[in-house]
Amino acid sequence: MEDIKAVSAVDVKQLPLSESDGKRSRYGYLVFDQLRKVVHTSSSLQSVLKLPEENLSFEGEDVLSVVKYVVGRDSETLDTARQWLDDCRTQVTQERVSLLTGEDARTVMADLSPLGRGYWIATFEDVTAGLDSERAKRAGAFEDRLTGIGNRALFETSLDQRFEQIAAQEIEDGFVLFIDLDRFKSVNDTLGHAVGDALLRKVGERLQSTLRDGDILARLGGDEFAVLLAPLSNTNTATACAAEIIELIQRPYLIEGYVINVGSSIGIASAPDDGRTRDDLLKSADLALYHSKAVGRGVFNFFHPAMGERAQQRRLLELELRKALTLRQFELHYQPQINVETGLISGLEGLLRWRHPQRGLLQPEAFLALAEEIGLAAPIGNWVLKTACKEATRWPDFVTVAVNISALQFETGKLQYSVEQALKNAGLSGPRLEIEVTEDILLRDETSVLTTLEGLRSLGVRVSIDNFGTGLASLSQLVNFPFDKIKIDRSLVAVQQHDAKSRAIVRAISALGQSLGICTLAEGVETSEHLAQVRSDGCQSVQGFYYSKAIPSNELTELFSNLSPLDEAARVNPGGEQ
Amino acid sequence: MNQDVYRTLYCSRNWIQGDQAEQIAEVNSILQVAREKNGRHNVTGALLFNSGYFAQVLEGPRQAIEQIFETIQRDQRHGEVIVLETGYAATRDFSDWSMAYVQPPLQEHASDVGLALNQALLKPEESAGAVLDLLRTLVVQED
Repeated sequence: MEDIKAVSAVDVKQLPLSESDGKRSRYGYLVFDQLRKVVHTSSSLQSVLKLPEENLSFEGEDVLSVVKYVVGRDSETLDTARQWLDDCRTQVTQERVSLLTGEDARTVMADLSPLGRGYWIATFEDVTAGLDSERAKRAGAFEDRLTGIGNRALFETSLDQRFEQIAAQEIEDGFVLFIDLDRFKSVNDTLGHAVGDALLRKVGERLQSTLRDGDILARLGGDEFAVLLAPLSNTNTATACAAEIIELIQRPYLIEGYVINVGSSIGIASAPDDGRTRDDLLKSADLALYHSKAVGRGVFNFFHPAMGERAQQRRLLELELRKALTLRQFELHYQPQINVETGLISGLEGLLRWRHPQRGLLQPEAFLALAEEIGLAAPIGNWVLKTACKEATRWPDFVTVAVNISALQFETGKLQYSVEQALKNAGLSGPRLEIEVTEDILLRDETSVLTTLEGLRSLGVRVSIDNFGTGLASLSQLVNFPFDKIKIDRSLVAVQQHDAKSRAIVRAISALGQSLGICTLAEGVETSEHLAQVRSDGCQSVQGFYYSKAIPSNELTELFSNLSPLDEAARVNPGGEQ
Repeated sequence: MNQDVYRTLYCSRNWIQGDQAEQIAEVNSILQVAREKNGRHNVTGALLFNSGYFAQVLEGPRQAIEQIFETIQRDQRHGEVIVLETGYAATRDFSDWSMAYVQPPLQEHASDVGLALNQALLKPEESAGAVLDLLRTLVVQED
């Protein structure tokens, strides 16, 4: 006995995990001899293995009986344990075995190490808690933390699985719905992220409530959700599902005392027709979603190959647009602004055109939105400024040049500098340049808009407000901003003949302009009737096809020599293109 | 305003299928669930049903109202939900009812109810007062 105790005492100390690890140690051990008789147990063994109190020591008993206490009546685990002990005697293995406890289903890992002279030490570790958190982590890997529904990983894994099942011909279909909230950004911006997050949770719950058995729901990120429909779906089920989602999502939300209304747009793609791989299918669903957004939101669309072609065309246009500046494909055309009293040209508005090598002369509507999207608005805008200033130096001194500035350019904070440079490089005096801004800048931060406008005016540049009267800005805002000219929108001019309301608006704008000392110009004057109307309504100048369309700069010389007093003969291109 | 009483008034279109008896049976089951849940959350209110529309007022703690409203929103037995009014109120109007119920209105009130609800759907922002008054009147009469 002396011998044994000496052995265990020495070797126990060498164990990295001794009882000094504390009462709540997850580890316990016992030492047994070659006859499998237990010769020593650690005091922590009882708590680790949850052994009965009365059997505090198993000393002298078969080690297998200890194991039996641990594993209960589960014969499979008991076999594992017996095998493990047999192996230990033949010294073929020292691997850990995993033992599942009987009643409370804990997992205990057991290790065997030889102590020499026929003695062995078995250490036991309760790993249940660790496994639980592992399992939770694995579940968490598929869960969206914010909403509690599935996340992108879940969606992609489920979709991969579906593709395997389709390949194995177990399932034929895979319908994917991409759902994106409309106007979510403004909720976040105006009511704050806490409300935005609460909204996303409620959207998640509502989506969850539309699911049928087997449907997989996930939030892919931001305000984008996706559903993989259960097997045996078809276009009818997908349609019904999408329609239900759109209706349910657009119902009002009550959050933190606010009534919130958002909508959703949906794109639908189906495997394998719309994509033979996960990425292809998701791309198709995304294109269909993009289409829904583009046609007006609050709707769903199935993917159609034409959508891919349109996206392809858009990519092509993007590439061409990026090269257009370097290839000098842009040009400015000019439309005259006429003083109705003198009939003389007072200025010319520069209008951007893109001479596309295949598609001919393109108007800004065909490419400007894309240019803004891909960050080309500023470089193109600068080119327009420089070119307009340069070309205006060749005109008579009394003719001003007007240039449109987008709200985006306005926001860069570099507008004043760009204008100053353009004037300096061209050698044009400030008062000959007129900057046209649109109403929407009035809806932005008033102080910074005012600073920029005043900066421009300090250069002597005139500032006019374009497309006025379309509803965004109110008359009273004109008082707060230092504009030199109001350009009355064509929609108020073209229809006004039988439209008393439009005429009243034009009159009101003119009267206000007059009392504030702001010049008024009517846009879209196409007929002599238009001219007579706006003249009697008090507008000081006009612009439109009645006088001239926008013409290339090399045709301006002729315009200057021809255009003098306001009479029939003076008109350029009378009754020209409408 | 009393920060304890939060009130939400909405109306919606009835999507319950079936004849009137079946619809009333369905509404009764809605009521049973509503009363049980409202009781637990200290929420009171009234429900008006006229086969075409629902109008419901909920009053109680704000968070409970918002949560119950959300559950109601997920119900496919109605749709086209319009919130007529939401905010803190001076007092409860239906403090004695976990959910008072105004049956499909009797002939004498049918046109009032139809008119008020039609108006509510057309001009929700101006109709809260009228619908609320209607609920108050009819609930008292039924009692």
